[in-house]
Amino acid sequence: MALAETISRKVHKLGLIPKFIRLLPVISFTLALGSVVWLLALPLDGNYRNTYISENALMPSQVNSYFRESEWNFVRGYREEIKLIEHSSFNEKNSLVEKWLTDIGLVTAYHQNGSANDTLYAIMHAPRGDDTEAMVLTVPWVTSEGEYNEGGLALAAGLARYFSKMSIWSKNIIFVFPQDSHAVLRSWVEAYHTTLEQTAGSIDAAIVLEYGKNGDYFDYFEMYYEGLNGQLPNLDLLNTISNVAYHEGIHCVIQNTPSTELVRNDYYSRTRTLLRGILNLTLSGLKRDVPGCAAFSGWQIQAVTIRAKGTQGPHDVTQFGRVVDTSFRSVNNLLEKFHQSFFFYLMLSTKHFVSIGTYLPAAVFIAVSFAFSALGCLLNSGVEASSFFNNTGSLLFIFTVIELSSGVLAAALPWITFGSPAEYQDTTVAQILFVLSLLTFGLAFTPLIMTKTKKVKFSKSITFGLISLSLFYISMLITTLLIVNFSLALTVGLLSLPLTFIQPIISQKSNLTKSPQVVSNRKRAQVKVSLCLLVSSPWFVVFLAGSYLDPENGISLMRGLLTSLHELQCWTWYVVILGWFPAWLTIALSCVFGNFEIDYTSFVNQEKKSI
Amino acid sequence: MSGLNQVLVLGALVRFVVPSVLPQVTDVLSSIVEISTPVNSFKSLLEAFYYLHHNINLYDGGVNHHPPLLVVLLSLLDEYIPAPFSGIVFNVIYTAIDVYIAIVLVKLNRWYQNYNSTRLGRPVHGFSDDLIAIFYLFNPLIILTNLSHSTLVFTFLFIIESLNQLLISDNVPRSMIALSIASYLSLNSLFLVIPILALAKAALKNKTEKQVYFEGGAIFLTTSGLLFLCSFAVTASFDFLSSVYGTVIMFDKISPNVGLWWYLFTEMFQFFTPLYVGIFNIFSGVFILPLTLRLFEFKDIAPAGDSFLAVVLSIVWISFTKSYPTVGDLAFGLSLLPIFKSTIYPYSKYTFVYGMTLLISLLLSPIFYYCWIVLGNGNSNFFYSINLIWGAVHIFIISDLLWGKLVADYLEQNKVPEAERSKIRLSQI
Repeated sequence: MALAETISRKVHKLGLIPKFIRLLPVISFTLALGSVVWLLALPLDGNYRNTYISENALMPSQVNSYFRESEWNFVRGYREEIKLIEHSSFNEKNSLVEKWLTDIGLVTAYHQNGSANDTLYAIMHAPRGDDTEAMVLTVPWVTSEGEYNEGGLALAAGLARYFSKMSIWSKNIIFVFPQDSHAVLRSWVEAYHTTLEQTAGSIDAAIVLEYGKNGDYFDYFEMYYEGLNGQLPNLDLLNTISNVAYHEGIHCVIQNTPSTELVRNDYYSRTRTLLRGILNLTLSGLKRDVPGCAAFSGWQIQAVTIRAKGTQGPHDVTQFGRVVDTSFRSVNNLLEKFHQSFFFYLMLSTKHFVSIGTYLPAAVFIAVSFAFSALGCLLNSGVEASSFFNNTGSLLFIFTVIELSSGVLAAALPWITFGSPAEYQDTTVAQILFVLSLLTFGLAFTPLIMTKTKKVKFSKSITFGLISLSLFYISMLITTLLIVNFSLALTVGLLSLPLTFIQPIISQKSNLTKSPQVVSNRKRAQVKVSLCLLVSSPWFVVFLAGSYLDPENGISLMRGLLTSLHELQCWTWYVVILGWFPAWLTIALSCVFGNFEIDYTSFVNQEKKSI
Repeated sequence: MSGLNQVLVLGALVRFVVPSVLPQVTDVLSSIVEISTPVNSFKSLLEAFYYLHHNINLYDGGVNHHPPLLVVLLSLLDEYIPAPFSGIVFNVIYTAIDVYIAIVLVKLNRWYQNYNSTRLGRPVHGFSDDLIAIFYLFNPLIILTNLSHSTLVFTFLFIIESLNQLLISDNVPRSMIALSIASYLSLNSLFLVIPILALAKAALKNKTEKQVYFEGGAIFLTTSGLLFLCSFAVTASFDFLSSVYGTVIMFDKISPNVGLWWYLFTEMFQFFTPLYVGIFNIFSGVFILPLTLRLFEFKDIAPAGDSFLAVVLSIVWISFTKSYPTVGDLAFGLSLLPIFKSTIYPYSKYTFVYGMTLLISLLLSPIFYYCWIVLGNGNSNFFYSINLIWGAVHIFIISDLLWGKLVADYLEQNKVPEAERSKIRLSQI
């Protein structure tokens, strides 16, 4: 305690606390900057680690796969058949595949999901297992890019035939053929754990196979691993697959690495992978072209999607099958569920990653930055601390009312979206986004227009109290999301960062000086506040990001937000409408109705005191 | 309607209307590990009613850990009132208990301010009545505990009634009877005998030491003995001793909660279990006596010492070291703290720090539990790390209040003038 005592005496002697309080906005901004710098430092040599197989039982690439040229003929045959029925009705498609699977001896069943075509699935009971665990091979009829998944289906049929001849399986294998890998697959996964009659035990791992019309040959394959709500599959599964690919001599890439840069491994490529990983994890579930692995989130299932790329390449279709085969053999070796290795990581390439302990400070800095600016907002506003205490009741009341009305919106907007007829759904989403954007613009620029005539006016302590409370609320939001959904926490934090600038801009000394410039200074400050409000509004971001991500259909992101909760149980919508939006709305309202006429005399006294 | 009455009515409405309109709230809350544990959950109480109605031994199957008299008395409600109404009657009972506790807290607050005004020779102003009631009735953790119908609420009732009888009615025997019932309901309340008897000695000037300590102790023991005999009479066996108290002492039912115990017993080799059971049990009681003695109101150091603070700190300490704590345990201690508004709080400096720590541990605890149990991407270390922070909050509170009290005593004893008090910065006493 002696050290703490010495430090505390020094702090008092040097008068660091008042200095610290005055510098709070600067410290807060530095912390936010520190977060970005931290993130960008991760791909530097020495800050990341090489991947390794942590669970020894997996033993990837230790077996010789016999899914070779002899099986190629079967795959070709199946593919020809599947090609023929591309435009047939869905029942015909299902019954053709079902016939093949029952011929092999698998148990088949259908899942009626009530909204789309029935999902066919087949169970191969393990010859050596106790029938309690399973692996899933999912082959959607249409790939996430919208292509007819003929190669994938042919491979699955070929693999089913090949698997059924082997006696080494100790886990059941389930083949699933959903119409798409979005809501239909999600509803199958949910039904599997709740209502389906034909089941095969708890699912350890799932691979979603996408091999469109690539023909017999492909160049390399891409792996997708983002789950919903910030979840990721165990790193061991990713490592297993990339290890298998390495031993097959196939390039395996992640995060849309272009085909020209398959072997590139430098700071730029690692940073790109890192940032795309964060972006994709934030947006997972919101986009329509979602790789199927996300559908397995939340049931303790490790799932990845692999998609073949290119048509020329050195690799043939059976090699793609061998990747699945050898990976399944590895998972088959497991005696316990995946528990070694990491569940929280960011990939820099298939061979490099950063684990949670290394990347977490980035989001912690942002959370602390918001907490500090909340504190600074209270202490630097020139309002007595006691008047904040006296107003605690009304502050909490206003904030609760705003939060409750956001809660009403949170339920009402998706309800309106699903209530409208299917063909008008896009229009409804566009209308909702339009109204919300209008609200954003209105609130952001009202302080500019109505400068003199305010009929309703918050008192000064309420104004600054509300801003501070909202900043603190965002800080707590980031803290709660920190572990479960790092990417979303970081993104929300960075995007709403301009909210922390508002109070320092308002309280700038230039607003008070009685010089001739006062009017123009005020005006400039107000423009800055309006811009901060606009940039940090969730709807502005959704609108902008939606148009950037999908130039043809700018509302797709908004539709994802509105529908993903219902279709995929992805709660990003709640984070936006119950976390980010009310905080923004509170700050916007206090900017509109707030009282910013800073008491000149009290400020001068304060200045004197601090000098 | 006065402010206090408004608060009481609103607090009562929240507690009565919510579970009456949404009965599933009770079910959900009584399954949450932070709010309810096997020894105080309402679900297992309902299970015990079923056993009782079907003539099954109450403690068969290891589900029920409630004391027999509580089960028997409450089962009368379940038995003689038709189904939809018995739930309502339970809501009424739990509401009434919390409102009663709030009323007693208000009285205790008034008593404490009067008592300290006479001791210090200057008027001491605490929070107003309605604020004291708000701190209890609108403490979210207390509301959750109450809505979960945890039987902990009965323990709170009898602890507070013990203080009520002692300080408001000046009656040591009745206070001891109430405390004995509290310990019968939840074993750890037993430790409160020490600080409450010390408080009795301090508060009741006209009683001799013999009257307070020996009579009080004897009445406590006799009542406990009678309660055990009655329990034996209604269950015709002493099974309840091991199921109700043995579980709490030996930590037989290993299940995660907000406390410090469970992790060591899930992750430990069985070989070490007796050692840790011993250590934890000693730890639960060992600081009660020193706390009481340090804050005892000895005549020669008057007006230093504060036996009421000793009781409150002991309550916080018990929440810290209990084998099956819930968030309600700490919340009960927290709702007693505002009473010290003008005696100790001016000198304790870390309220903001532990307030934030408390808030963050409350936010993260359910999330980490979800990561561990539901998502499977976390593990028990995640949840326990938050338990440790939760424990640290207790220690923060105890040391902060204790330090505040020592500073206040120093200033009183050295007759430091009012004007200089805020300038003096003490680093050790």
